[in-house]
Amino acid sequence: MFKRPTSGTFFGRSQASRSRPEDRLLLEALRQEYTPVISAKLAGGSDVTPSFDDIAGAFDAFVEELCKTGEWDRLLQKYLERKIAAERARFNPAAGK
Amino acid sequence: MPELAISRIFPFDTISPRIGKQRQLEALKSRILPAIQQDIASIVRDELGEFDILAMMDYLNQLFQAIQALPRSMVRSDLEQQVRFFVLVVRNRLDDSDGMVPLRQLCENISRVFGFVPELNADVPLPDAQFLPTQFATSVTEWANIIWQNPGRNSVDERIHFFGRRTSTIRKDSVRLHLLELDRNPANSEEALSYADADFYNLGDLQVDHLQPSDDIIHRQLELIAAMNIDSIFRDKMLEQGGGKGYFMSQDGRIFGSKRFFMEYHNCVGNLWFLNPNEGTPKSNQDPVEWLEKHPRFSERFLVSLGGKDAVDKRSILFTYAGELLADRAKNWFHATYAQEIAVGQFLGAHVSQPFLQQAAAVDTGGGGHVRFMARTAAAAAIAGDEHLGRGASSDDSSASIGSAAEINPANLVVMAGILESEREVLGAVVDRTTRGYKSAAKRRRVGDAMPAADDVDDADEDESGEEHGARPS
Repeated sequence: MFKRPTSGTFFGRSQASRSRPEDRLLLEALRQEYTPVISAKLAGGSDVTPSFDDIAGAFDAFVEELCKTGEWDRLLQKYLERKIAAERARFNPAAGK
Repeated sequence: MPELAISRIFPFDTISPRIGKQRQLEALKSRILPAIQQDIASIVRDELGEFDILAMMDYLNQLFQAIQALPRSMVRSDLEQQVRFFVLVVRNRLDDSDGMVPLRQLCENISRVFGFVPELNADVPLPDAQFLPTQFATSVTEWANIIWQNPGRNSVDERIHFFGRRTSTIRKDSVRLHLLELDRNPANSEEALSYADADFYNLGDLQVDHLQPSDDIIHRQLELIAAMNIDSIFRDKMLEQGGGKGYFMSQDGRIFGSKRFFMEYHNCVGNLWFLNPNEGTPKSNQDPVEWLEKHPRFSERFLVSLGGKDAVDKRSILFTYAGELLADRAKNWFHATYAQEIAVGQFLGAHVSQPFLQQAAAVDTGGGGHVRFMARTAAAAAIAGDEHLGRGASSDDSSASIGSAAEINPANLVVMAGILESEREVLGAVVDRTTRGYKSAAKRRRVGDAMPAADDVDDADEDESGEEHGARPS
């Protein structure tokens, strides 16, 4: 009925269109942080555990919404900036002192 | 004294915003259009002095206001065009007497809102001769003798396109070759500047974009031709302006545009620039001034530099500012405003991206995006101003460090988790909305499903745009 993830992981369709390492890193971080949140929201306070398909489907919807609204790129940009700051500190420890 | 036909079309019917709006608009158009056309013909035939000028002003003003009150539609657009023709023939027949001043002012006011019938541009710069087709001189001579009545990019018989320079092996668009000459990265010949983000992109990733959309240019060219066939004064003026350019042909007493006229405007390098594809595609057919105003790299700042939106001169086919084509003006402003960023982009291309790309090509077939991202990370460190650049660009150690910048490992996940934490509020709202959307869609589609009952699906399964989130049928 709803698209089943393709490879035993979530985000089947999203993953297909975004395969850069930084995308995968963000996806993994989101999966770790937000799968429990989504699962709880799908359960809606009941004792019934949502199905794998439903969690995956809702997660995909979440990721697609982030992409559509530009949040995805904004998060990656923030990551890039943080890594740049770290690199700067590594190469040029005097900076900022 | 002849009576104006438009005096008989008032008052306009009120157009219902909902039911049968299109039918009502079409009915209105069929009533108004012949009246305006009849009056235009009368003015051209009888000269302006034959008419009651005060009455004409009154009716013209009423017509202007009534059309302005119509909903945006093709019908309104057609009527606006007819009013432009009306104003053109009136304006061309005004003398310098004081009695005509109010009518002249009214014509100006209407033109400011409905626009002007476009005229030829003083200059339509083409690609440098070295980039033009080898037989270009012969071709344009032939094109000047070919009538085109309805050209378009998808037309079979009158297909408008970029002309190209053919070498022994390939053909390249002349405009692309010309723009490359202008905006190629001097430090990396495989890249050129995108005017959407002050960065350099691989040549194959860049689109040649018309700032003023090509459909709009064709539309304005056809309006100019139509006006030449309405108003002999305008026709003579345009024939004089276009003298010797081979833009117009006369047949059976009518003026037509030549293939040369349409092809040269389409290939005018003063209206072209490079954009990266994710900017060029959504830009599409937007009004160039509106696009510039909305684009973060130009925005209000660019328009303020011109003295406001109204400073853009729209009297010619291609928009201008102070005699300069608008795109050329925008490009010059962009270079002046983002000079530092552009210089950094050149630096990155020469000293960082390119060496890394070359290095990575041997080991990474995963796509340029990844390498580019990694290269930027290290480049930023290099720009911090230390001596590591030379070593960093080539050493194995640096390559290893770059390669791991976005790897899924505990250290990177911690950094990313920190970012997610700082964005908790925004992400929480998104996950809330999309999960509700998903539940709502699932509930509707899976009758009798055992999914737990929704606790909050009734109030928000659609956002403000009415678009549903999370409904993902297979």
